[in-house]
Amino acid sequence: MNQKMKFARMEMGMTQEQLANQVGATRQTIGLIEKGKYNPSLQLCIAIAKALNKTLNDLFWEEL
Amino acid sequence: MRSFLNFLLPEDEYKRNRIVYFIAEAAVIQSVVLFSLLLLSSWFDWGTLEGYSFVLFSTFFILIYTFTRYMLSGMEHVNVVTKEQLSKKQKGIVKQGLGVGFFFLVFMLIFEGMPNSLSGAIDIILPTIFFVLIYITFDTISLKRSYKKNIELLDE
Repeated sequence: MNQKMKFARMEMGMTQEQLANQVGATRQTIGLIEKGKYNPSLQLCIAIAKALNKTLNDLFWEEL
Repeated sequence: MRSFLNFLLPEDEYKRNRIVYFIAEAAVIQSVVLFSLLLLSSWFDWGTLEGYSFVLFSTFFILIYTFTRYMLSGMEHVNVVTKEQLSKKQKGIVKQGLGVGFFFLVFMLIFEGMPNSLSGAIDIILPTIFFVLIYITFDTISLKRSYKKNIELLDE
């Protein structure tokens, strides 16, 4: 589950739908990424990071 | 990625990926079935299978398989998350089904001509009713599955 992305979105006060519209995806796709059920492309990761004012590391890097 | 398929695929990358997978699955299954039929027809001396059947199968199998998988995947109606939206969408599906049914009826009348007997009228009306029912049923299944999936993923 990608909690980091969910928390970053909530921190920005955005709904899944608002984020989806901003990055050219659907609400379902955002939900799937947050639930860890879909691995987005690098292009979409970058778009999400930009929309949430975070780096790729902040959102998608997992400590070993 | 540059492909002539791009114009058929949706903008959302998850949907795009899934649809490309469905088309690829259909193509693999179709190849296996056609090859098996070819082998069986020679082993069991069925004679040469009609080319027409092969073409018909090949044409419709990929379309039907991809459409069915898409419908069952619950990714068609991505924005339906409340009971109100579900009920509104359901009404929309019925209206759309009736509208499409009307065009189907017109299409049938153009190709079959105006019926001049009761059996002629039945030959046009029954397929239209069947078409509308199938349309509404399939779209409703897709809507219900989308709603269920959307609820599972909704976490605001």
